[in-house]
Parts: sequence; C-alpha cells; structure tokens
Amino acid sequence: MEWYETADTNNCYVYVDRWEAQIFHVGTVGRNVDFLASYLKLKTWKYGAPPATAVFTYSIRAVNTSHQPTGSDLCSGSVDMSSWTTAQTWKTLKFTSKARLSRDTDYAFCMRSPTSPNNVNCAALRYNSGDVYAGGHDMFSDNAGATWTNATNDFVFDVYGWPISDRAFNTLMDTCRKAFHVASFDVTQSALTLGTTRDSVTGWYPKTYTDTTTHMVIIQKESQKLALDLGYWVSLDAVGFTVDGAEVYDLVTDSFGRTWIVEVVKPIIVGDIVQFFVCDLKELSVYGG
Amino acid sequence: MVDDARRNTKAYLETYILNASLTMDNDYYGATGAAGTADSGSTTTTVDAERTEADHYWNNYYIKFGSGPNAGMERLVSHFDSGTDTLTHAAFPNAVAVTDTYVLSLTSTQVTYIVCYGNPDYPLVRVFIDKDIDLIFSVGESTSEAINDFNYYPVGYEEHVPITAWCIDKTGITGVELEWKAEEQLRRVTELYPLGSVRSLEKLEDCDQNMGGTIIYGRRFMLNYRRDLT
Repeated sequence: MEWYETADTNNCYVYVDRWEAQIFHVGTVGRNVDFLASYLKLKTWKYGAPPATAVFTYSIRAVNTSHQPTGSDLCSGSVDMSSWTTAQTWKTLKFTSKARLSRDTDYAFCMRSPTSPNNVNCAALRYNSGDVYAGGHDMFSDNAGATWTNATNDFVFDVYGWPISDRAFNTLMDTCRKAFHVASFDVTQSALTLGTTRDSVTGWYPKTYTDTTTHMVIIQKESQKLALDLGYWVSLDAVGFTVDGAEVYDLVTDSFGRTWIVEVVKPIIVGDIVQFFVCDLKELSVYGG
Repeated sequence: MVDDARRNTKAYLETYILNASLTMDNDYYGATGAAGTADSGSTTTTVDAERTEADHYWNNYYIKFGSGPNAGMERLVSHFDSGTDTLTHAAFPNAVAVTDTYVLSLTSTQVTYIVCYGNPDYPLVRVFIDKDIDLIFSVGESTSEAINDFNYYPVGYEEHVPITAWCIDKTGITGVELEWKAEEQLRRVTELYPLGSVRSLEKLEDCDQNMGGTIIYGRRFMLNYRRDLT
C-alpha cells in the first residue's frame, strides 16, 4: 500500500541499541484508504557472522508531531537470522499481529536487532541516499528508540496488506449488541508463529503463539439460523466475523474460555475494499468437539 | 515413534546433501561486485593488483572462479587487505593460479534446505515464507520386505523410504527448477555415498498443490536400501 522499491544505493546496520526507522504516509504512492498492515518487504541480509540466536525485529509505530516514532508497537514481527545468507535479497516479513492503519496518516516502521553484537556482525539494510520517497524519510536511534535523529534518505520498502473498511463490521456488532444484549466482542487471538530452534527429532520448527485482544463476532453451529440470516453458513463448529485479520491455524479464545482453531479465512470484498473476514472455526475441546 | 530406516535416511541426507553443490543460477541474487584475473594465490588467498578498493571492502563477499582448477566453485571472503591486494577466503580444494578468472558478488548462490519427518501440524507454506527456506526434504513412513533365496529362505531385506522434496517459486528461480535441483542432489548423494548397502532412487510422481496465490511444488521419490541379514 506504500512503497519505494526503485533504487537502493547504500547499506546501514542495526545492532544492540542501534535502530533504524522510516516514516511513511498512507496515500502517498498507494491508495489513500485504511488498510490492514500485514507484510513489510525490505532488502536485507546478514552482515558478518552474528550469533545463531540473532533475531531481526520490525514493527509499525505511530508518529508524533516531530515526525518521529512514538508509543508502543501497533504491530510487529520478528525473524531469526540463522537462515539468512549474506546475500542482499528482498525479504517479505510478516507482522505477527496486524494493525489497521488509517488513510492519510503518518506512521513509521522501526527495525532493530538487539541480539546482534556490533556493526560488523548484524542485520543490514539497503536504502537510497537521496530523498526519493515523498511520504517521509528515514531516521536512526542509538538508544533503542528512546530518541531519534532524522536523516534525509529513504529505505527501499513496501508496507502492504488488505484495504479495509470497518463500517459493515461495526453495523454487525451494533445489531448484535441491541438484539442480544452483548457487552463485548473481545476475544484473545493467538497468532501462530514458528519458533527458532528446530525440533531435534522431527526437524520441524516449533509452534509459538502471540496473544492479542481483538474483536470477533462468533456464531456457533447451534445458532445456524442466525448465521443464515446474515447470509452465512456455519460449516464447522462456528463462524467468526472480524476486521482485525486472522490466519489459518490461529487460535481464538472467547470470554468463556472456549478455544477455537481457525480453519479457513475468507475476505468478504465489496468492490475494491475488504468489509470483514469470515473465519470457519473448529472448537478445541476435551469432549471431542 | 521413528523407525531406524527413517532416522537413518534423515541423518544420511543431512550429512551428505551439501549447500555448496545445491547452487542457484547466477542471477538468483544481486549484481556482481567486481570481476578480475588472479595474479597469484593459494587455496585460501587470491592476489590481484586490480583490486584497488579500501581495506575490508570485500569482506563477506563471495568469490567464484570462472576458470582454472576451482572453476564453478565459490567461497566466502573473510578479509581484504588493500596493501597486498589479497583476498582471504574459505579454502578451495586447489590453489588459485595466475590467469584464473573470478567474480566477486554479495551473493551466496546456495539453497537453504531442511530435512524433516513427514509434514508439520501447520501449513507447509509458513516454513517457506516465515523462515525463508528454499527447499524441504520430507522423509515419510518407511516399509520393508524380506528378500528370499530360491528356497524362500530370507537372505536380506529391502527398505523403502519415501522422500518428498517441497519448494515454492522464489525470487529469481522457479519452484520447478528447485525441484530439479533437489532431484539432482538426491541422485548425487545416492551415487557418491552408497554406504555399504545398495541404494537406489526412484522418482514416483509430482504432487504440486495450487494454493491460489502460491503453488507448493512437490516431487516424491523412493529411496530403496538393500541389506543382508547381518
């Protein structure tokens, strides 16, 4: 949804407390619509020989009036660098938790690798030494994001995800609140990520989960009529409606402690905007649900 | 429970499949940094007066020879000394000689792969995308059968271990090309390292899965062992 990918000319490095960031303005290059930030594409590689445990972390933060990153991460992800090579390649990095970014607004993506020990054994990034992206500029921090120094370069990057509107979903929640006296649609969504150290026997990566609180309207199979009234069929144990995004194999826990696994995710698209996501859910139950 | 045939096969592949021989095409990764002709060298050094860049400039680049006894091989450069025009790199099998041509690039043309049992309990595509893995060798459930002599007396047994190579399209190389490289590598391993028993590789079938935006390419093989009763 926002990008500058044309020409990279220089390298920079992130390690210990040295962070790098890039301001971007939604609607500068891409469509000026709200979108669910899901991926960050960067040209990056492993420089030198960082330890096998080195991790590269990326996130999106709000921007303050000084045009610098502020507050906590709106969404983030991390990747272990052990499988990276020393080749400069485009990498598609997925945000573990998703964030809805507003149209016509400034944000910053921040990059760091605190487990890289120094500037010759670390994560490296490519940027353009000119002010080539009109929606912002890059900056760096030497104290883990506490304060920032502006620069006049731009990273080569692409932040993208589904263009989304929450109007239909808000209408659905309002309707359910009035009809069924529902106070909250909060659920704990546990996003699946793959761990760092492969299992010594099977060779596969272990599963880990990152919890965030999101909104989801869950309709059980026993309330099939209600789902049909909305135009949907409960094909598994339940169906969930959300605008916060979900991925197959994520877990969803409702306020009663019932846990569901997401088996299918379907974006409901009208025209060129996603209205919400419909998730087919299977209940995890000791009773064999 | 993992049986011996599967365990042996996983260890066998992990030991003998080499990143170094599973190479991508040259255009898989970025542009070449420089090209030159060696003036002298050894197995771990290359000296070239053409290299006028600053100290450490070529650190972490890869040097790949286009001619001479190391043609086609590449190694990581650990140090560049501008005073002596010397590149220090991981050892080649043969000494670098005068007139050997080379290229320096910030590239490894090598594939990253893992060897695992069966399939994970999460979507396979997550491994390719989240972990930036190029190729997965998946070792399946093995079967075995007795080999009898003319009197139906058992003299040995044959084990069949299915192996599936999984991959997706990557930047600069298609999944189909990666499948062929996987097959090439499995054949190289079985031919070079029979390890005391007759091993053969059969190609069974392709099992590509079209997942919409992403195609997961799969190619099934059967690794056959023949062993006597000892």
